[in-house]
Amino acid sequence: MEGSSSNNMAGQSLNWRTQISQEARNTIIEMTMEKLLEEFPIDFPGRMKMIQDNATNEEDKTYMVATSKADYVLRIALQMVNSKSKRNSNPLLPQDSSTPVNLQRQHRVAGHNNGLVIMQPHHKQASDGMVMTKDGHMLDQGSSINTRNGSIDRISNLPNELLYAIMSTLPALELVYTGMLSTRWRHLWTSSAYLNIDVNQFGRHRGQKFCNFVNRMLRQRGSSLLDALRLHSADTRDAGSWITYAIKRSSKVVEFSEDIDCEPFKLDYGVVDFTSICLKFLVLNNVCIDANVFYPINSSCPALENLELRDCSLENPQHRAPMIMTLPCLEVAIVILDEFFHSTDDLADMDEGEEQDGEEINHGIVSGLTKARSIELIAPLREDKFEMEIWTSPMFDNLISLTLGEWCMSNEFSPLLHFLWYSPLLEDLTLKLNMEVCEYCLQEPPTAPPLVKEFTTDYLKKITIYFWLGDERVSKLLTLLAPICKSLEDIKLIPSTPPGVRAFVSRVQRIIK
Amino acid sequence: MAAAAAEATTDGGGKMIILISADGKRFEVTEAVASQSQLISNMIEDDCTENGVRLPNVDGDILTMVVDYCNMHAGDAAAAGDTMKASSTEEELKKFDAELVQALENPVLFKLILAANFLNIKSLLDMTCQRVADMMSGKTPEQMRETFSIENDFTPEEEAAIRQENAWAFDD
Repeated sequence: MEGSSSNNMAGQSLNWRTQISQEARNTIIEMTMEKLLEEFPIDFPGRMKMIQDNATNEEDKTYMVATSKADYVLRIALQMVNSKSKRNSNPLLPQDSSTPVNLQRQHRVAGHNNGLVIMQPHHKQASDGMVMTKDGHMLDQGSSINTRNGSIDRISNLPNELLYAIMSTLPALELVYTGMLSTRWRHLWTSSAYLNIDVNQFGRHRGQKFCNFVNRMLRQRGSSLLDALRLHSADTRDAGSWITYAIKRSSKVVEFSEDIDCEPFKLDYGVVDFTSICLKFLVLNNVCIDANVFYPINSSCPALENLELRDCSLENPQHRAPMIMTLPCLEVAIVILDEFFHSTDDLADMDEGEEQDGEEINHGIVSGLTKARSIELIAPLREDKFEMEIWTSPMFDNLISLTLGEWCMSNEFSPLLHFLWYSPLLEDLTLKLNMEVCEYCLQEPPTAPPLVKEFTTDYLKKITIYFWLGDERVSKLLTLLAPICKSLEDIKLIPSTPPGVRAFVSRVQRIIK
Repeated sequence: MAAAAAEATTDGGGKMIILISADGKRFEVTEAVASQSQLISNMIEDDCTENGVRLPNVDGDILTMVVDYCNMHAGDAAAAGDTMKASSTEEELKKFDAELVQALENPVLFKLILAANFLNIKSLLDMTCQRVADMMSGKTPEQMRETFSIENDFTPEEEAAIRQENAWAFDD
């Protein structure tokens, strides 16, 4: 994706390049050379050649990097100005030790004594190739001498953008620590756009200490924008407000997981507002989602490309949502449900509730996913909710890769058939029948239904089925699928031994020994 | 400039490009290998590589590493290309990357970061930046300064104030 977008940019930029004649470019090179000659008044072997090469390279690079004619002009102009202002710190000129820039930092001045030019980050646009020592050797930008032990502090001299790149993967604690390194680092971390917060970093200080840390950290960041929040939390209600913090600061990525040893994090209505035009990537792990929270995800996150709900449970809505929207940009959706909870009031009379209200409950999950190219829907138990939803879903126009749990075989395979019928581009189908053996399904192995409409899938090439050994449903499945799939190239059957049986086998082995 | 060597082609048919380091070392690589650098890729698109590509702020030593890396990774970038010699398996790649990264120390690591940034090779930049982050992880501010020779330029008063202000970030 990245490649193609920059290709497009390069395509558009071609037009303006043709508008700048070679003559004009040569003139600019000459101008740059004049400037450089002024800057390097002392002659040395190869001086002319070096200056010419540098000027040509400079211009060429700008020509290459610039995105438009105006941008090119601006960059060239900036270079002229910058190369002028750099004269102050040029080692080939007599040192002017009173230049205020040079006195700002002791260790940077120290660099001068050794004949090095320090490029400070805000001078970065200036000509990269022009950093030289007295003997004419080029140096990379990140060179300054640490007076204490004489070794070079290369990291502090990296431009800010590279320090941010390094900080982007730092755990939260170390990120905050960088603010204590030196004046150069003092406030940098507060504008780092990536936060990687993991409760396990706090060892025995989980709990209050962890909460305090994150709250203080976010307060110090203030309103700096975020690109990504990756949060692994345990047992704290504050996590909701941290997610909200990220969403409010335009985070594109939000990954939240509640520690697996804890109760699922309850994402009730009002805890988090997911309304965002920036959110592209949402992952929730071990979370119990109130359906009233889910509707906003569906209708207020138009940019969402990747939705993953893993080991999550959904609570039934108190009332039906007025409208279910489809996520227009969705590429990948993974929904792995732990179990379906009913709203707490219903828990007592769950069975009755299901009987009575079953028809009215619609989570809007599946219908939100209809534009996705890849969908995985797993629910360990026989799942009426998905099933009911897909009847109301329109076509899965873009769907290429589909993974379903065993719920798709309930009701005489009708959910599976429905997907096949309404996914005209489907290429790759995976069925995971070994997630957790469903008593109901095993007791009443479904029979292949008479097909209501005869149809074939034109693109389906590959079917993969994971199953426990001895699962009779597999042969039925194959009988059902074989005639439908016109262009099938590959069926993979991946059996495994059910855990119950595995224990039994090892017991028998022990007895034999 | 001699235009002779620059237009060579391999038997595989891939066009060759000459990269010239700051100290004048020349490297001949295929277009597929070189275009992992977004900078060079753009230059190829604009047909600006005939006389070789001069890289005035990348040393020969560093460019050797970059070219090795790009040769190794050409497989996944140009998966569609048919001329690649048996592209490296994923395992080999992982091993190569791990060894490369492990071997990286001050100051080569930072030179490589700057080169990856200048040449715009995202995967190499990510990998090297990750290495620096890994070197910082699990360290106190003092240990970080030690590792990277960062000079503590706070006055004692400033430092005390910062300590105080950030007490919440430290254990107990």
